[in-house]
Amino acid sequence: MYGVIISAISFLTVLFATPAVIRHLARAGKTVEDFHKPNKPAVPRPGGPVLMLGIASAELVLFFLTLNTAVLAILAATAIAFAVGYIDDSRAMPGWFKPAALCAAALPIVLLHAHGDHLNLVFGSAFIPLLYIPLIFVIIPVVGNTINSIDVLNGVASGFIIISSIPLLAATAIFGSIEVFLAGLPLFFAAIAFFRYHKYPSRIFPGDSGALLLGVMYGALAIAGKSEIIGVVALIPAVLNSFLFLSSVKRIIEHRQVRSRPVVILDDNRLAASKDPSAPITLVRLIVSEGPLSEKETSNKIFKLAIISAILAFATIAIQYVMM
Amino acid sequence: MSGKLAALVVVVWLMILAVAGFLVVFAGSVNDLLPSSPRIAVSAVQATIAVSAVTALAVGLGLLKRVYLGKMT
Repeated sequence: MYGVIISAISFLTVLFATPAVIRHLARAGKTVEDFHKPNKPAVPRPGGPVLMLGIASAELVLFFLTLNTAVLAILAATAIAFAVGYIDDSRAMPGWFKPAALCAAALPIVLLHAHGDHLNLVFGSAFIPLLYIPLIFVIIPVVGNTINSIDVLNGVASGFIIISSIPLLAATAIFGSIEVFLAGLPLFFAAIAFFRYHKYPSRIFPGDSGALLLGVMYGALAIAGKSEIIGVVALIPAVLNSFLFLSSVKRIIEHRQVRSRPVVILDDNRLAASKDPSAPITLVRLIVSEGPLSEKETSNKIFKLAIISAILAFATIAIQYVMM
Repeated sequence: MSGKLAALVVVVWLMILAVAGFLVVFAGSVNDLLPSSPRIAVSAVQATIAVSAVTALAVGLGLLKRVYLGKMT
């Protein structure tokens, strides 16, 4: 019953508040160009506040119903990630800012002890009561930035989270607790409602505030739900994207700081791989390297990869369940 | 390309499982091997093993990237 209530709160809040937020952002001139479209239309940004509103409303209700501190830790971590992203949305910050500031989002998980002392490692577990704490300060910024870095095409960040959170929710229900599973439902349902406006052609962009809160909440759920490795497996295409980018540029920088773009836009607005050898390698560049694709086709290929990694995550759940 | 990328995702999954298996065997058994050692010493050994495993995974991913890009050209 609680699940139905909080799912409905997060879904309906985002579904009905987003059009108003789109109008408000457009009126306030808070828009950015959509580079992949003809005439580069202005798209309102950021959609993070509406995602935060939907998720926070649901999580607060869940907390007062259950009084579970893990729920509060997940909400606080998400809110801090949102604040960090909102600062970056409001003024361009240097590349180091987000990873460094996102360490603060790990604090509520540690302070409220929402984590376990054992790390589930599919084939068994390791008792790491001290080591787990620095690990949280690594996981949270990495997952937040991983989702942020895949937010390059219409609908990809929210669509990717929808697909990846299905095995994560299943894993938290099996290996974590029912409260953490319930705390994960608002992520899934808020992302579904937001995807309606974010999908191609986007009527709103999540911005750093939206992408970081989605990523950090996903990471916080994986930790509190004792499903860290399963969470990583479900994110493999996004992890690959981050790895390819970082191993190309060899330092932490913002995408806007990249001199040579990994993808070029043809006259017919299809995406093609850059021929510049100094351009960073990204998932999108690999996808379009065999031939130009439209933005929608490219997004669909990313979603197919996300589905494959979600299936592998379910296979990982099965292995972990058998080995328990 | 999608087929090749899907295969890449599967290979990365297998690498993650291999690292998880390695950590269960080595990091997980440190508690049993050093039962009377201070917690901080056990954690330091576990951290060294974990960092080594993650470094090996990153090196493996780098090799995989080179092989993948080599096949593309």
